[in-house]
Amino acid sequence: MSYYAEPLAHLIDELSRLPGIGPKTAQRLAFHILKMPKDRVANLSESITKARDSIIYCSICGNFTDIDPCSICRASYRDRTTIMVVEDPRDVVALERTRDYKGLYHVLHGAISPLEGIGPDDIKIKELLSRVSDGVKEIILATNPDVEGEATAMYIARLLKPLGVKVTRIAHGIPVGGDLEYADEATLTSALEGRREM
Amino acid sequence: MGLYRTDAIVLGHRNIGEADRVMTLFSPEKGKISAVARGVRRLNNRLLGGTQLFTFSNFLIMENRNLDSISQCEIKESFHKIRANLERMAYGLYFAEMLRASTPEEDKNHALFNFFLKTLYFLQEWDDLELLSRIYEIKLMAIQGYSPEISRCASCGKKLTEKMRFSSRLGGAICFRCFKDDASAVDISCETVKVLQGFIKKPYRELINLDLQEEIKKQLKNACQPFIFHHLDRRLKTLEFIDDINSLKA
Repeated sequence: MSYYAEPLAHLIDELSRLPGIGPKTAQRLAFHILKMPKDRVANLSESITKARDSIIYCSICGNFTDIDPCSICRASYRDRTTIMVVEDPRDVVALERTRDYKGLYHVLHGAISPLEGIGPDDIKIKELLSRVSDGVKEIILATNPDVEGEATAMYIARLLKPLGVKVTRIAHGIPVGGDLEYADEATLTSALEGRREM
Repeated sequence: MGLYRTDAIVLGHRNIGEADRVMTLFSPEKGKISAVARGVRRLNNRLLGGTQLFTFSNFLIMENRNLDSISQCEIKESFHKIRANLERMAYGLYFAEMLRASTPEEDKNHALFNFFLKTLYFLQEWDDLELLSRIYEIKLMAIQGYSPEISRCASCGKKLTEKMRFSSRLGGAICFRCFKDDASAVDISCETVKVLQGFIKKPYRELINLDLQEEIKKQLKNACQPFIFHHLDRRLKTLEFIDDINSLKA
């Protein structure tokens, strides 16, 4: 027997399918939605449907966009000789916030994870290889500095080596605002290797 | 419920929630355990270094009703050389997956822990990783109680002769009289059987300079891997990654 009216039970069920939302949170959100003004609920449902319908993958870089190619790939002031490879569209947002990088991106939509059975064919590596043409001078590998990210970076670097393009990896070391005391030996070794003159 | 301290090697992890990870740890006192590392995907998290794959750390773990959580950790050996090389990382992942697949939860085994720790040290410097992989496979199976029968026929128990095959299903080498008992058995020579016996008996440091003929290596691979898949009852995912990397070299 259901404790809730059928439409409410359905709403709770749908919300609890979202990542990080358990049955209790789903229940709280559903009751909050019931108390919201009707126009706000309409806005919410409309924006979900609109985002799902209009957002597509950019045919060049693989990032989420509403117009293909995306605004970054279309921008004329961008440096087309450099491509930065990232795991996730959220990484593009994080890097764009720095306002320092003016090249293009390539979004892999994941990383090689042999323990989970995610291989090179399951992420957008082939698309990257097809982008490496005469004009591209440098590929920056900005995958996460964890095991999956490192495996992905090393794998791509090995694939690109015969193509003669310069392949670089983002620096590893002590994070800004971090504490040396808590840095592990691998981080400290990387930081020492990447030290620069002041 | 309370706190406990244990040494452990990180065998694997899976992401949960915003920044947490459920770690699979292998401890000499507790066996294979799972514990959550909260906030570990954030760059300045204190648990970040000690919870990297293959790292050997001392963990302070808080017992919970559902899932234990890691409170503190201190690195004893980071094994970062394994993570810095694509081949070593791929074989390390294969070794870790094989250990995870062959070990039940919370089944403590000091000998197995010491063996795995030793394997990680050798993985940092061993040249022929395929050979290390064969030695690891057969030694792991022996420690887990699945040592192949290679001193006499695994089917009839009689003395082995020159003509023999290796049967994963029957658990070892079989004599020519028993070939009919397993049609899927693979060819194996007397030399290869002797090498296998050496793998089980000799320590790693005596095997590190072993130089084997290609034919023996091929026979070892054809015998060992199906033997493992037969006992684990599945093919390991990490093997495909090793194949991918080897195809890049070719």
